Amino acid sequence: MAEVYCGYDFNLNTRNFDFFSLPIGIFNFSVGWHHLLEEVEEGNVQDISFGGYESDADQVMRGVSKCTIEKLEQKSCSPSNGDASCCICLEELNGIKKVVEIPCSHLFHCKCIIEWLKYNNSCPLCRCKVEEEE
Amino acid sequence: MTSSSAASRKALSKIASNRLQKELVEWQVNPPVGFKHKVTDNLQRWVIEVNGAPGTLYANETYQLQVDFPEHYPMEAPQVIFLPPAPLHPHIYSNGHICLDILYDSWSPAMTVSSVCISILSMLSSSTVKQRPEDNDRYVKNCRNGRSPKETRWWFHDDKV
Repeated sequence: MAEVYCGYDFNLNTRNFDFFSLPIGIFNFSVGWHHLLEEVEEGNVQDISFGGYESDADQVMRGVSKCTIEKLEQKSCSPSNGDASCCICLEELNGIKKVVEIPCSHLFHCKCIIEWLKYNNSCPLCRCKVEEEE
Repeated sequence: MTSSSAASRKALSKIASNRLQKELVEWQVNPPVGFKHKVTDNLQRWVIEVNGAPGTLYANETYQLQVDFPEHYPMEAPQVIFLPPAPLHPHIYSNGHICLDILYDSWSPAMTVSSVCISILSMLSSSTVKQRPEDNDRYVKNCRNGRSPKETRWWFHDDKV
């Protein structure tokens, strides 16, 4: 997994962003933010995606559709799968009835991977896309 | 709360707490080389001592990382910063913010504190020059009032250092 660095811009970054918990001062440096906030409050911005990148559409944080999540293959995990654990919660997968296999063949607890895919379209282990983008 | 970060304001969810307990146990059994977790009773904030790797620009130097976990860890990345004094490095700002993609948009819940530490040490070790990022002063000035690095929109283009 390549790691890359550097350069920045200011951003409304996280999906659970809590505007009102921020120190008031941080809004001062960017007029653009005020505009964005007003529009959010007035409901003018649809489908706003925090953590998105203006320059690169692929980087926009986007979850997987409900339909795709429903189609994911559920299976039960037996000891023949080795001593596998779910990389999200680090708990064992063996003996668990609700295990999900995503298209790249990686296995996770059903609850764990669904929570991730609500906001992301990639495998936590190999970053393969779970849902093809149109 | 003395923390400047929004990341540490809400208590850990049960899932986050369970996962961190597991990471802590694993760390105690098998800590990453060059790192020492300074034990406290605060599961939500880890302070970790980093020793510069031998044979690199940071050999024989010790720094401290502060890792704050959000309520919904590991679905969201931890906030990782260097406590002052931060190492002189082209991707580390003087306020301790680290420009490393896995801490922001490239985070994955398969990563752990241990794997993040190893990435940071690798970033330090591969540096060929001890200097601040070119835009250090401007960035740090914009971060006054204690904004979290997670609220910065980073872009990442340089995989050489």
